[in-house]
Amino acid sequence: MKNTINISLGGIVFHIEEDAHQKLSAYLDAISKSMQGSEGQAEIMSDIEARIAELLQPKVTDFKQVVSITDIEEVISIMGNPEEFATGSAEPKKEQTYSNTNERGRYQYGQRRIFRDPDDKVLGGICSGLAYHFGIDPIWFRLGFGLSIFLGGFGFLLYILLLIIIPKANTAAEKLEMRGEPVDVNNIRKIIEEDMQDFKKKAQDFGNEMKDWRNRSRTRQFERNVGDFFSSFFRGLGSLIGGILKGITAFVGIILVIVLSCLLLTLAIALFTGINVLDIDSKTGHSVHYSIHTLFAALNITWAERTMLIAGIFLFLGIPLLSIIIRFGRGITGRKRPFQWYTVSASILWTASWIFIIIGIAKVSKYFKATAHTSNEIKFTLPPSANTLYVKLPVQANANEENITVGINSYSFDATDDSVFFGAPTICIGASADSNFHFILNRSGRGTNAAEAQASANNISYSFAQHDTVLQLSPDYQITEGTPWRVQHLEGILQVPLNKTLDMPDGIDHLICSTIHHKHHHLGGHKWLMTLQGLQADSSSFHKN
Amino acid sequence: MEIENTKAQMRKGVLEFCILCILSEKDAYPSEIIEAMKNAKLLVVEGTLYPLLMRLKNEGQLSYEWKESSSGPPRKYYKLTPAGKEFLNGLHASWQELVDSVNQIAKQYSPNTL
Repeated sequence: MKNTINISLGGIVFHIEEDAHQKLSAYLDAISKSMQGSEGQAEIMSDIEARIAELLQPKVTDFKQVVSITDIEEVISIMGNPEEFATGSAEPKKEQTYSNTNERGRYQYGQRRIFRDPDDKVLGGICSGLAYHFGIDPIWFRLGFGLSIFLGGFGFLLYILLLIIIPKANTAAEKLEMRGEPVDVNNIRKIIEEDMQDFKKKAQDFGNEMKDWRNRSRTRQFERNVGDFFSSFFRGLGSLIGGILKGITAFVGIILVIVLSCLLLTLAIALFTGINVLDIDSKTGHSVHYSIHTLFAALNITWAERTMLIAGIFLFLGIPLLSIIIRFGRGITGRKRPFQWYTVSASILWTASWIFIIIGIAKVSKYFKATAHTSNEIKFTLPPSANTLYVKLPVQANANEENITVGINSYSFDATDDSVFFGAPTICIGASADSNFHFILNRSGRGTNAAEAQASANNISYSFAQHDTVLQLSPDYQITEGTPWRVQHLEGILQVPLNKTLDMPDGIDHLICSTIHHKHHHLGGHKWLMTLQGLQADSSSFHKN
Repeated sequence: MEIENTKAQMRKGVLEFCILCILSEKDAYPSEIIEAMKNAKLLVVEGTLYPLLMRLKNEGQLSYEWKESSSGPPRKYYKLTPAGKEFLNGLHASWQELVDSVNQIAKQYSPNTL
């Protein structure tokens, strides 16, 4: 009884007995070796394999299904001695120590030679090749080369030089030479078996190998080494960088999965529980708490519209988040199989989220269809002797000025009652047509129709007080309790008569939207004189400060 | 053994020429070329043929195309290129010269004279 092996030769499958297989692979290796460096070596090898297959085919019948060692011997006698093969080539023949005299098919080579080891490499396999030659662990060479990079890069140059000079151990025979083991059939089989165990990796490199082979067939030894050097150097560098990147990716991935999971959880909590997502102290002393619940309550829309929007936003943001989390999670755990059901349902839900949001926005936008403005003008009469109007803001405003800008478009909502909100008015400075100060308050709002829009505009309440030469302004306006948010806005236009002075407080600048003065942006903290050219800084006020 | 070696050397010199001649008659697969050469007792081992075909192909004398085969995987079907035909004409002329010269010299020797 004999073991048989399945081989593919020239595209045909053969069952071959183990000893016949050893003989055949040793023979092919010897041919390959004899043609080392000649042009078209790979192609010739495949032609020869195809011919051997052709010769073996008639030897296999229904009654004799297995290729035996006598078949192989016969084929070898037809094909001839590997030594003769190289003579057909114009390439100078390399020194050959091949001999076929031994019955067992033992091929003897001289001493151990230095090769680059393609099976155990970081960059080009130099270190492991050298290690085989000197019989020590490759780590010492790697350490040496690694350290030498810090010593002026000499080792780096040496490495490149060695990469070019030292050939790669391609065949089993060369690998044995590299290891200093006798090149006999058993050892070749050992090498081939090792290669087979490495098959998965080999398969991945297959594309590169094919390219390599083609290069080999076209170029001569040196060029081949140079080409090899580049391909193995960059492939090695690639795998090194790839390894580092893999580590970094895994680390970043884990962090990202944690962060994104928290984000997803926060999104769910924020959308569904009405928890406060942001707390801000208003300048008027109110503490303002934002929650999704508050914001939606302020909109005063129907339950259906609200549900549709919340669900839409949750799915729209949540599904991509979840997908990224799963993706990274799979990358870290190495699980490659995609969740079919997840991909399908995620796509459907995400599309649905678009529809929800679009319908929701379309439905909600009807509340904002109509716009209305109201305007009322207040005339300030100053005492006849007074030339300056002192504008004041509450003291607190200065301290909290920076906080308040965080609100959404300068709107703040009060948590004590879901519907009360504050907004920062915009204040414009203009020229008065007569000799009096005027303060014009323009309110605007939106609604389903003109009447509703008018009502929402009228619901803006703004408190200010003028007493003698002092105008006390409030930093924000309020919307009457129970009124929904409909893009209400308040604009105050302060008209200053010619040759009168305006004294502006600190902290007013964020409210100012336009002036008829362009030279200074910061009005706060200074006195301004109205001239024909617009506001001019009163120089005395600068000196005072 | 010595005479075998010399014979082999003599054959090798003309193998290229013979391959081109065979292909000038008709396009062929390697196995057909082998067959023809074996019939003419020019080829002892087949392995020699492949490196030669490869070299002639690389030099541009030959080209090949893959053809389906009824009995197995597709096979290479070799043919002469125009350059190959020219090359062959040149070779043929020098072959005639060589044969004449060699015959001339060989005539001086006859086995009977020894």
